[in-house]
Amino acid sequence: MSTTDLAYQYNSVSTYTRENGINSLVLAHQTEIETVNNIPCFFWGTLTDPYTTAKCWSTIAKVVRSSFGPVPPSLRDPIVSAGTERIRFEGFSSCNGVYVRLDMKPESIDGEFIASGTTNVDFNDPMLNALNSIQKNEKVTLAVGQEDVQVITAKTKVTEKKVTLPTRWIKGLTSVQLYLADMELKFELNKIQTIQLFQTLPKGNVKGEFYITKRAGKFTFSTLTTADSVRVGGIHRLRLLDGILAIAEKVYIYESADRQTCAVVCEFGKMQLLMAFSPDAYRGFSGEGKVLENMTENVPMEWVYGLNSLLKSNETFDPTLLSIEHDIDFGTMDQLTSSLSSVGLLGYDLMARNHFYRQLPFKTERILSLNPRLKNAKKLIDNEEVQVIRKEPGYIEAIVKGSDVQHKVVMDDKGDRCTCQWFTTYQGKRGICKHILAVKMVI
Amino acid sequence: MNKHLKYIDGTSDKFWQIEVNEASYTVTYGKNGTSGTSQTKSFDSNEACLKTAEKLLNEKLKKGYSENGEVLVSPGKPKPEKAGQSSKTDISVIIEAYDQLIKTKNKQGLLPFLEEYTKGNVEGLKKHIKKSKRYWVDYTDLSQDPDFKKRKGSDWGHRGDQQQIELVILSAIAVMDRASINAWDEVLNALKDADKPFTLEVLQWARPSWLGDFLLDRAKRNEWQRIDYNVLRFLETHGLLSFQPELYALCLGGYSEWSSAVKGRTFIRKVADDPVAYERDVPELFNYETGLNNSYFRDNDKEAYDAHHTWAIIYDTLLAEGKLSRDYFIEQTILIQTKDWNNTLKSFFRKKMIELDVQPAELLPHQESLFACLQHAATPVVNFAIELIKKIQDHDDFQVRSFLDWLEPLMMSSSHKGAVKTILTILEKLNKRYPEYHTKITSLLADIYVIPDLGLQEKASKLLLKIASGNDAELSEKLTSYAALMQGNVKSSLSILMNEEADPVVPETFENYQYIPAQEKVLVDEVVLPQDWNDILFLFGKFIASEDIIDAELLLNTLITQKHLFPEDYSGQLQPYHKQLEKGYFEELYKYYVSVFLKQKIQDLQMPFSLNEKSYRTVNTLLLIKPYLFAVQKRIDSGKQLPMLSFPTHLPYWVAPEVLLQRLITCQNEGEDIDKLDLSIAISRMPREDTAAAIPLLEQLSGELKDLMAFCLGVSKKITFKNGSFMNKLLSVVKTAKDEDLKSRWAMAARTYYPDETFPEFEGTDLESVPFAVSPFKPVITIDERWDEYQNYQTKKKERTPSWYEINFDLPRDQKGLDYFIYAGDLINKKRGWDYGLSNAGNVYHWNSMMPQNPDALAYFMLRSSCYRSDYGGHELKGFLNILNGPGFRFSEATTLVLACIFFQDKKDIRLMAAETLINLVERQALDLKLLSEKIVFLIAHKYGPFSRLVESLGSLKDNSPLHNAAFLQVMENIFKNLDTAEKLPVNFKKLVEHYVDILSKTNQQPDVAVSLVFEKLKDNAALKTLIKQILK
Repeated sequence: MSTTDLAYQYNSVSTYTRENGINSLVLAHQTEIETVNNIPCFFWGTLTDPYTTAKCWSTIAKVVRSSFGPVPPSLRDPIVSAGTERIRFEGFSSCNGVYVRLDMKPESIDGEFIASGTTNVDFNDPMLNALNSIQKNEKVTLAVGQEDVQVITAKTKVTEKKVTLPTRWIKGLTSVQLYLADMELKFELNKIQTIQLFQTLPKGNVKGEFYITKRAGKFTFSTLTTADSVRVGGIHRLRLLDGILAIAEKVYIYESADRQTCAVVCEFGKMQLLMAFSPDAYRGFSGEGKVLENMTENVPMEWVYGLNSLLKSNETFDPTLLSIEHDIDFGTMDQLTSSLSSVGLLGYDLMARNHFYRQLPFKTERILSLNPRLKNAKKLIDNEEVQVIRKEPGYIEAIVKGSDVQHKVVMDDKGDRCTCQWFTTYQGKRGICKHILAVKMVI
Repeated sequence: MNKHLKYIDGTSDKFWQIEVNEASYTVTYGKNGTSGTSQTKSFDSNEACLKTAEKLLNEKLKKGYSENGEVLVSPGKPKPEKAGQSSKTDISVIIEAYDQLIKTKNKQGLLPFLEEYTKGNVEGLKKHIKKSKRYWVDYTDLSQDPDFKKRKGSDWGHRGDQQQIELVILSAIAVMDRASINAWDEVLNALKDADKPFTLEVLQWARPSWLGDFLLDRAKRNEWQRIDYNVLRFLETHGLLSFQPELYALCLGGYSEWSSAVKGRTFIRKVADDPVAYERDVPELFNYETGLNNSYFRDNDKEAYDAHHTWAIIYDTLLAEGKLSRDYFIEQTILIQTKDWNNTLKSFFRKKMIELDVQPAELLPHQESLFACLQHAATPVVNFAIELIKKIQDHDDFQVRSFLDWLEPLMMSSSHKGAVKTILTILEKLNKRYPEYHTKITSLLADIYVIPDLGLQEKASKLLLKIASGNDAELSEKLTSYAALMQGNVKSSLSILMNEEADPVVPETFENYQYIPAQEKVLVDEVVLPQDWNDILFLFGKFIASEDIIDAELLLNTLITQKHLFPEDYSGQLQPYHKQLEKGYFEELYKYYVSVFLKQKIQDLQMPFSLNEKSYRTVNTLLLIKPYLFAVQKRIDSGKQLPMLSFPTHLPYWVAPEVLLQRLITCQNEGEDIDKLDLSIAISRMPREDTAAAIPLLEQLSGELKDLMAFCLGVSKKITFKNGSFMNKLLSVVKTAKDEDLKSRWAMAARTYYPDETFPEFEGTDLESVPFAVSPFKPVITIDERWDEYQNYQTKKKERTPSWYEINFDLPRDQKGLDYFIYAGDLINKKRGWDYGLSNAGNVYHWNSMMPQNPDALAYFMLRSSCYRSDYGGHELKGFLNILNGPGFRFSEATTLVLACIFFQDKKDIRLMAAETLINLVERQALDLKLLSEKIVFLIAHKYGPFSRLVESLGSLKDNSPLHNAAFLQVMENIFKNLDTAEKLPVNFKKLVEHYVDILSKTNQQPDVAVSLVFEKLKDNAALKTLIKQILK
């Protein structure tokens, strides 16, 4: 049985209303995790910078409704984590290639955190239309979840919204954190440099890879790579940032160690918006094999539940502290950090360089069942289709059954190699194939 | 709780089992007789677990599972209405009845059938309907089914006729659920006929709850799957559908005359007369992105297809008849502008609104929304807002403060220069009227210097000097911080406003650009052979994935020299790669043929190479891979482990002189044939580097080969081929296979090492008429105007397409050149066509790898096939740029012309890459700018492509370094000096002059005397006047 898409239904819809000069945004939420779903309201308060916040929300909406790959675009609702004085919005494009996160710092909101938790929130067209018209110097209140059952007037009668989340989408949310944790700050741009950089963003229908290069104190998008340039695949996706570049105070550019993925962080003072881009427009974060290597070892389930009682949403996850308090070996803790990211319990904050806790609003079993390569590798083992031929220090050779052929897997000082199509095509650049994975699990 | 249930009927034989163990349960299911598949699920509590397990069990029982396998239908919860009895009929009876219905096309029978059998048999029926759909409805191959073949000449068709298809689909609508019907496009067609009594009856009986979701899903996915609005309304009136704003908006806005049963005028009237439509649904069109801007119709055949715009008329009518409030329309039109919608849709509303002749009083309430448009990325939106703001800026209720707040990012945006220009005049007026905002306004004006546009900056300066005061500290600080961004004389003109304490503006040091044709060392990275069998094995994979020529060369070499590393079961181990090679197709010709070769070797190393496959590309030079592979085979057959002469010793394709000589000596000593092509390529790949180690080896060679290699190594420049060829030519019919004639190898060597020289030695031989042999190929290149003619179907008159300009030159010969003088292989008079071109970068790399020291042949071929027009080239041009950027590239007339052509290409990514390449080459001083300018002038003068593309490409040189600025200056001056400016100037010529003014001031240089003379003559040109004044000051 293949994993099916997750379908859920909101009990109400998010609304934006304007009454007596006060605008209020009420976000309807829903999660697969019952205990969280029963929380009526997580936060209620006012926005201290409504215009910038609205612009960021519109940008998130733009991301979650865009698609740059073969997947047709359809609106995927963002995820909100409320807690520890912060609210974070996370979202993904339909093609899973663009990840967006808005970190609203304590200064950006003035109100009460009633509960802590992570949940899906409804982004609908009428609400977004209303956001679109938020002006500077307006008063806007925000409620994540609502205490009272919403009164549906005849005029605003809206049908309940059903949403399906494809498994790839959920998987992307987990693997992108591992990429973020792997990133380094490459450039810091002030307002003028940002404008200059984006002035060189090719207009019109130019796609493909470009490199952000610093030349004579100026940043440009260049088609040629240099030693310290940052690679951006699918350059046209950066247009998603159009709406907020003009108001960003600073822009930080990050790149992963393998130079495949990059992230742009726009700093607004009270909040920051991060956008991460997969290696190319046609590739999503979900397809990347980053998660795999952490999943060969299982996270004990009691840890998943244990953390939930230890930490609140958005709380900094400090492995050292935790390992001292709970007497866990540091080495285990490192492995655990990435394992916990892979199962959707940790997000990574690039600017602060730390993980923060938030439990994705999906059941952990669902997340664990998501990785087809892992599943396929387990199947190979179950069917006894992995045969280790030689096993010596520094050299392992195995035969793994493929569809009507036998694949050879070799692991030595030249790396892990396999004769399958996946490995041939990507030459190890997109995570390990199921054959190598299976051998790793066996030995 | 443990339960084991079975389900056995005509089509199924399966089981389902559940075991509950405290807080978890395990479900196992599968075919009877197998162990099945298991899944375990855990819960927080035992109660929750048991509850879910019981629920599951009940579901299965309801579906008809039972402990003995007999299909039972649970008696529980009968559906409320529907007269039919709770049936428990044997499924095979139902299936038969169903099939009978379809076969006899018994439409009337469907409803009674459904009433009688559906209840309790839904699952079985669903399955059978799915099967029936595959059988009756799907478009399939009927060649085995002659009974159903309908059309002559085609084996494909549908088994069912229209009525049968309709029946199957309707039954599906009645029985299936959302998930199982989701993929059925046919449902949409069936719903179109919802008003047919028969269809309606079935629909009303079934009342499918998924209808709305299904339709919305389709409507969102594809524009052509938006169901007719009238059908929606019909379904709604009959209680089959409830109002869903998005669905209704998409379908209403998706009206098109050709796909609808309703004529355009009728549709318009209907919308305008139906209050539900115009009060409830039309306003939703502002909430969802529709395609209403694409809806045209015509009243009769004589009119063009887009004679009338449906929605233009509807909005006119509704507004005129007061059914849509003018104010609402204005407000919404402004609001949607900042949305991320299709621009033509937004533009439709903009146009409509402009037609309304909106008055200031109507705009003022929405001014804040208009201001928000100023920060939008799309120029038309910004311009639209500015035009409207112009109308209201002198009004008392105009929110000056807010307007100024919104402006800042726009003032820095280079993509909205037009709007910024208009804002300048608005700001001037506001400054006069509201002195309290004076500092804010001057501060905004200062932001304009971020935009690299001289004209605009000058305008801003003029205004600033007029209104700003010198003692505004904040302003001077801002201006000072922008000093580096100011163009031309702007900086000095503003000096009174800028910070005096700041360092006086230091003109950058001028660094003259000089072309230094550097000799870069190329024998750097040695080629590493595979060390063991594993390396060879995975090299096959690398070859499949990579663009590097070396992987193919390495593999071929292992077959010659490293066969001993192959284990006995090599074929088995290589099978995965065989499969991949079978499945794949390589666009690169060499890869394609090498893969044919490898596939045969994977199956059996001993099998001689045979070639039946043919690639569709006919470029002679690229096809050289074929004879080369036969040469490789010959070497394999010889059993001698001698690498091919041309096998690279250094990356990416170089052969070190010493190694080549050693290989030749071994061949000579062992009596091994020297392949002509192999030697040609080897010579062409051998750089004159580290020759000291090679020269002593010459002594071991004998005969003509020794002289030839001495020539190649630069020891002597004497060409001493045996000129007995006249006799040979006479006897060519009886020529022996072992022809010792090395003449074309001599020609290869001559052209490789002395690319620009003439060799009279080849005159009087059969090489005489071959391009490149005696002297470098230098044809007369022309650029000619071309156009197409066609007949206008309405006016019946001949019309001309717009002209384009094409590069042409004469090619001397009609057929293929002399054997393996490879420079001339494609300098033949062959028609260009889709088969006769390079099409991708890999082919360019392959070509270049065979003659890396003289890329002229490649350049001429590209001029003919890829850049003969400015709107033709593709990826191969990028490949060429990559080569050009590499170390040791030799620039010549031809290669420089190709580079110049690329600056004019229409594909932006290619142009951008050319600009980057230019920056790189200037940095290395590896480019002859005089030659480049000459070529550029030639292309401009003959209108090869739009001038603005060139300016944009060259403009990227600016401000990278003093060297780049000097280079830019040099190119511009060369262009000004050599372009015939008495003629009409190219469009956008002013842009280049602006750059010139800017660079002159940046580098603190005086214009060249000759250039001054040119501008002296242009002094009265209205557009250039002010700029020229600055040049000649």
